[in-house]
Amino acid sequence: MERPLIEPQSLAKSCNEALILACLEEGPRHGYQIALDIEERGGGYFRFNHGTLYPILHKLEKEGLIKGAWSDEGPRGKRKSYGLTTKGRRYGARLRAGWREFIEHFLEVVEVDER
Amino acid sequence: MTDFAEVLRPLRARLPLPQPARTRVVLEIAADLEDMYRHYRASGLSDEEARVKAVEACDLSDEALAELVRVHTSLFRKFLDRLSAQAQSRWERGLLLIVAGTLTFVSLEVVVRGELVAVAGTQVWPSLICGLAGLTLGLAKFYQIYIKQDHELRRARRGLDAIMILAGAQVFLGFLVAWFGLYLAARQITGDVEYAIVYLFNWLLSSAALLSVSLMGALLTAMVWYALARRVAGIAEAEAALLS
Repeated sequence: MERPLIEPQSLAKSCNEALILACLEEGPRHGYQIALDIEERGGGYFRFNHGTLYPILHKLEKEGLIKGAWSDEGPRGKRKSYGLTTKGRRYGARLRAGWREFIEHFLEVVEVDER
Repeated sequence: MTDFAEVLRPLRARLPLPQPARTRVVLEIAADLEDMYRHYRASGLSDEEARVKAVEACDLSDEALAELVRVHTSLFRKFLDRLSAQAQSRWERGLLLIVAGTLTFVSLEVVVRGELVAVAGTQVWPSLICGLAGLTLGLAKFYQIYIKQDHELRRARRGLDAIMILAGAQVFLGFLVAWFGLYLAARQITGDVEYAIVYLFNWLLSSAALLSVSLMGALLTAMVWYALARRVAGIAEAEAALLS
């Protein structure tokens, strides 16, 4: 059997990566925008502290899944924004499929008939 | 722009990352702090409340900090970190010795067997020793700055001047010894005028070889100094950008 992409030991990591990659599907974002977007889209369910966000963003960037670019925004100074790479887009799709599979199996195990 | 220097300064001190990664991380956080502050201000919070919320949102926990450092640590550094501190220091010293030894051996082999050195004779040794010392020091600095990535400015700068002084010393010694050779040749000519042309050509030949070796050595040492000095200047610039 093929090793699943989402493993119970690394749920938090996979969840954060999937959220960030999905958020970037809509276009490049600054770090703070990513955190705010995820919070907004999740109706406040996923609250991202920036401190947690940076290591994940930098790791994804190192792995070539996202690409950071600096731009000079006049009086606001230099800003770094992140965009998805082709590799990141593919990985994001695989990750989402992995999550669907995981949730399906998880519910199979934990769901009980409460009628 | 809002000044978050009091938050960024301690953060910078907590980030044991090589440059320019450290500056980039701090600049990124500084920009996000600013944007978060604006966001909270726009949502109706007071100046102080917005500042506090922005700082809270961008706060890096020790765990997140360690993860960030891990992401930016080179494979070589990770390998060294796996060794115990004592073994690591021994391993680093050993590696440095092997590399320096190999380089010295290869340089000596090339130089000693070279025609120029043979023609210049023993008078080239003072210059050669300065050159080898400069290159060995340069190698040690290269290891410190590029491989070990020790970017503490004071330590990074230490020894750079010595490399340049050794490059200058090679040129100085080359000219000094050549000038002294002229004096010796002149003394020989005074005692044996008949062979003046022979003594003069001998001096010309050995001095030309001596100066060629000295100038080549000096150039090589100066190039090493230049590369290192540029890197250290880049580190200093990045540090200064953080403080501005």
